[in-house]
Amino acid sequence: MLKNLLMALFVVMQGAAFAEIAVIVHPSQGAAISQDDISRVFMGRSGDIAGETFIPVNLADSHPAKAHFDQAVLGRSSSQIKAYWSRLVFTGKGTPPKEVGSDSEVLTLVAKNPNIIGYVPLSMVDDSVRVVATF
Amino acid sequence: MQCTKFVWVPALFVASTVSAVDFQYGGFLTVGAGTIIDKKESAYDYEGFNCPCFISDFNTAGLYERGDIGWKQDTRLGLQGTVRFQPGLSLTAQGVARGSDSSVNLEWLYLSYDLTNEITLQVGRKRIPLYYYSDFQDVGLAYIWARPTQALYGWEASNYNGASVRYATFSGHWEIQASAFAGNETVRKSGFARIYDEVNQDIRWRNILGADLEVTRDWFTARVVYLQSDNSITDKPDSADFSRPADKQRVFGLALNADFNDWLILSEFNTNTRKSRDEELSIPAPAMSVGVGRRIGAWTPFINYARFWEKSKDADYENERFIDLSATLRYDITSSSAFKFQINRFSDRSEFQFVGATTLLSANYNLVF
Repeated sequence: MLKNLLMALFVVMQGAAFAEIAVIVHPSQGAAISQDDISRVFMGRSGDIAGETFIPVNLADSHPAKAHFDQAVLGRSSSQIKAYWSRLVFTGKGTPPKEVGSDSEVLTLVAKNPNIIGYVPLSMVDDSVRVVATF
Repeated sequence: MQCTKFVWVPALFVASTVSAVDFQYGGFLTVGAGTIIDKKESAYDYEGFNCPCFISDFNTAGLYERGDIGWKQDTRLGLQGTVRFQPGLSLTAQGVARGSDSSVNLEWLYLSYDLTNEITLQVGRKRIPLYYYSDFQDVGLAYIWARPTQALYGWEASNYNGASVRYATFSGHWEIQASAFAGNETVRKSGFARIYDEVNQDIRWRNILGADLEVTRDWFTARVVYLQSDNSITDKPDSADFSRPADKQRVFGLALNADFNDWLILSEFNTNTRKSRDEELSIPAPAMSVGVGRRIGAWTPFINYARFWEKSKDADYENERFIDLSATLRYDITSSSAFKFQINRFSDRSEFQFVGATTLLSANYNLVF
C-alpha cells in the first residue's frame, strides 16, 4: 500500500516537474520558429524572427512553468537568468521581458496581439493561439 | 527586478505610434558582515588602522580591522528608476547607500538615446567600465564572490561624468558589444586616498578616454578594454591644489570567461601603468584574477587566485604587492536572492609596511527586487 502510494506520489511529482509547456504566438504568424529564435527573443538579444518583430511576455517566477521554461528553452536556471538580467538592467544595457502574473493572461495577450510571443502549460492551449514548439 | 506590470500592460494595446511615458524601477541589496580571524597583531598599525586588516573596497575605504565584526563594509542598498519618454529615449538614475559611507551616492544619472537598433548614446554620470564587473560591482546577486577582488577592482575613481556610445550586434552565433567613453571625475575626500593617508585628500581623473569590446558565444566570453586618464591629487594639509602636471594613467585589460552551466572559469588580466611626468617615475601594476567553480543545484563553490604586483624599477619607490586567495560558497535561496560565504587569505608582499597578512571570514545576503 505504502509502496503504491509512494509510486503515485513519484508519478505526480514527475508530472509536476516535467509538465510540458507550449511556446505560443498569434494564429496569423505562420513562420517556423526555432528554439534558438525563442531563446534570442527572451534573452533580449533580438526581437526579430523571420522578418517579424516579436515582444516576449514572461511568466512571474512564482509560476512553475517559468523555471521549466528557463531550464528547457534558455538552458539556464532561473537564478542564472536573474543574474544575467540584473547585470543588464542595472547597467542600462537591457530590459527583461515583461512579466504577467498568470498563464491565462499570457494566453489572452498572445491571442489578441500578432507580435507577442509567450508560453503557457500545454494543457491550456486552445484555438486562439498557434503553438510553435513544446518543451 | 523591474516592477512594471501595472504600467505596461495597457500600453501594449496602444498603437506603437502613440508615445506613452513609462516608469520602471528596481533595486538591489547586500547585507554583509565579516571578521578577521587572525589573532596575532601586526608589528605596526598601518595608517591608524588596527592591523592586520583587510581592504574590501578601495574606492570607499571599506576596510575590516582586527578585532571587529564589521557589517558596514559590504552592506549597501541601491535603487534605480528609469523614465522612458518614448521608445529609445530614457532617463535613468541609480542611488546607492553604503554602510561605509554616510551619504547616498548618485552612481548613475544618464540620458540614453537609441540612435539605431544597434547604437545607443548615453550622456550623464556613469560607472567607468574599467573591469568586467565594474559596471555592476554593487549588484551582488549578479556575480559569484562576496565582492570583486580588490587586486583589480581597487582604484580612486569608479564613476565619471561624460558620454558614451555603445554598439551591440549579432553575427551568426556571436554577440558583439563595443563601447567608447569619455569624461572626467573629481572625488572629494577620496576613500582610496584615506587608505594611504590619514589626511583626507581629493582626487581627480581628467580626460578619461576609453573603449571596450566584448564578444560572447555560447559558453565563451572575452572582453578587452583600454583606458587613459590624467590623474592628480591634493597635498593637504599643505596644499588643497591638485598636483601638476597630472600623472598619465594607461590601462589595458582582458577578461576571459567560460561558463559551461555546471563548471565555470572566470579570469581577468590587467595592467595599469602610471607615469609621473615631473619625477619621471613609472609604476606598472599588472594584476590578475583566475577562479574556477561548479554549480551543484542551488550551491556554487568557487575558488579564486588574485594578484596585484607593482613593478616600478625606481629605487625610491616602494612597490605594493599582494596575493588574495579566496574560497566562496554561494547558495541561491530563490532566483532573486542568494547567500554567500567567503574566506579570503591575503598575503601582503609589499615593500612598505602595508595592511599585513590577513584572513577574513565574511558572509552576505544579496537580493534584487
